[in-house]
Amino acid sequence: MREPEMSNEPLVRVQNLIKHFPVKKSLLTRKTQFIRAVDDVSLEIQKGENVALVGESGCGKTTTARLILRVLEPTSGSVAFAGKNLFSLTDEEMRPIRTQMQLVFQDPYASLNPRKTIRQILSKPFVLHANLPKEEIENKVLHLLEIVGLSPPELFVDRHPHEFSGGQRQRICIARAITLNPPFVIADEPVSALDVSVRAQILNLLKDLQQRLGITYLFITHDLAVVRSVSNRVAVMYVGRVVEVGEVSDLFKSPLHPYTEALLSATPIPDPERSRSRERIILRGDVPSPIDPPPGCRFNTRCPHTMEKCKQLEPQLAAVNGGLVACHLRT
Amino acid sequence: MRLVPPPGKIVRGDIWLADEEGRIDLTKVSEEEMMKVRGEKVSMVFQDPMTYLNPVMKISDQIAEAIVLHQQVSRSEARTRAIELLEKVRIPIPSTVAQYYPHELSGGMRQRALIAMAISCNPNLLIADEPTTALDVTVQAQVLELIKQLKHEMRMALMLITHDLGIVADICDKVCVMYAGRIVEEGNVYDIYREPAHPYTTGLLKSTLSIDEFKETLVTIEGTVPDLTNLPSGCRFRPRCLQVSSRCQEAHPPMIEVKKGHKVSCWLYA
Repeated sequence: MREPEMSNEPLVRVQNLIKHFPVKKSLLTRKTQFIRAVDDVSLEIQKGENVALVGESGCGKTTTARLILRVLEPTSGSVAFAGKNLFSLTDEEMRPIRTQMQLVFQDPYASLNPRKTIRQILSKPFVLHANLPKEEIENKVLHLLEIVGLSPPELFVDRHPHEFSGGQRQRICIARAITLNPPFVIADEPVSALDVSVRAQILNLLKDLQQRLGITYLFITHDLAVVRSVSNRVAVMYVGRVVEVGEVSDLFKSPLHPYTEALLSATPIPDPERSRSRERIILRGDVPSPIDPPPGCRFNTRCPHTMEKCKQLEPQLAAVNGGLVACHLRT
Repeated sequence: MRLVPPPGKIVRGDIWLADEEGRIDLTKVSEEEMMKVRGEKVSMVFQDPMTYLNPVMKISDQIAEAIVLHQQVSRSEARTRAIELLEKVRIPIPSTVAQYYPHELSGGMRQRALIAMAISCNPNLLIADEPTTALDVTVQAQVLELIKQLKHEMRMALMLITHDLGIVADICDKVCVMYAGRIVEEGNVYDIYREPAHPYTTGLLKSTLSIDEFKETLVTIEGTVPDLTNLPSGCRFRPRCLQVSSRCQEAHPPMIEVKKGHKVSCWLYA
């Protein structure tokens, strides 16, 4: 790839990304079928942005994240990070780039090694990637704990993960993710496993880090209420495809895709007057299986506006009113 | 439901259940009578349907089992009734789905099957404990709509247990807010959301996010829920309360009526 101009080049550019997982459907037919987990996803993330990736379970959000981090190899497509096509790099070339992209997982109870102290957990990245003297690592670890709101750090640093609450553990996971000052962090449902009263604390911390350290986020969630207050832009996925991308304020006010509209309408509003006065769209049926998605538009089996065309021709993302939408109604 | 497993027990208090035949105190009735109450008068839907369905029994048989147990009908008639119930909970092609095992159903369908079982004997009260927490949001909307419609059609009372203030705002008439084992506020849904009285309710509503409102800094309730074996003295919310005074430490605040039907347990109003 040619050297991009840093100013308009997005930090992450995902192009036509496809990942199919083979599954054996039946012993008799021997025909291999594929779970089309991610099926032609394109997405751009600008520096400093918080982009939300939303959708229902099984729609391919996490697989997309794992492909961007190159934890998984794609079936086809490309991911460019700061202008470099990740899938063309060797493992050796990948190593320094891995320090620049980090992940915060959903379940802080499962993502910290129970046998290590917080000091050990947070020193590891420095030991592996930065050749620093011991005292300096020590100082950095304490500083990290302070940044994520665990102070005084001396009180926490020699404890084991089981001594912390869920919210505190998620703070430690965030501290671990930002040890090497990564410009890009993927947060995969970072507050879904936490108590309601703790969620806001963690979301505030993530927002604060975005401002203070200039971190760019891909924020994976199924909770649209969180997206409204946390993200700048949002991409909506349905059965392996991105169906709409837009600025949060535009997309929440006037969604373009009928699925986005239904998703917003299905999200409860915590106010009896506003909640009961609005019109509700109740979709029929369930999310179709990604093994055998419906032909044409994947949403055609549940869409209230299905036309003949929708059953035959798969709509492509196209620019409409400043956003992108894949729907025959709009193009 | 009197289903708290030992060593848990009811230490004090009573549970009155009223119907056409009068009213009974569920804490006083025998276990045998209680078995009749469960399913016939009060039934329950749980958060995780897979845990409450028998994985090696067909859906129709599981629903029929409850019907045979409570009503004088034959097995085959009960199965026919089961299919009608599946239709009632809006399951497409009920006669086919009746022959399925739980693992062949999606999460939303399983919850519908569980609801069919719960309403099989026309209960007066349906207790739904986080019925949609395990479901995706579009399926959650379907199941909530179903519960709303069934409540109306079958003239049941509904007790909905949830942490989701959006769901409460959407379907409930009356709200009780619990904190560390006690009801701290109760009232009609409009009063609770418009004029919350207890500092905990106020904090909860302020910290809740909504799709139609952008919040720059999210409001939090500092601290954590107290350990139930080591509760603070006086008001249980005291350590986290922003309007705490010396009185709060001394005794638990009484329930005070601030408006007709709107009660709050807080020293600010005493």
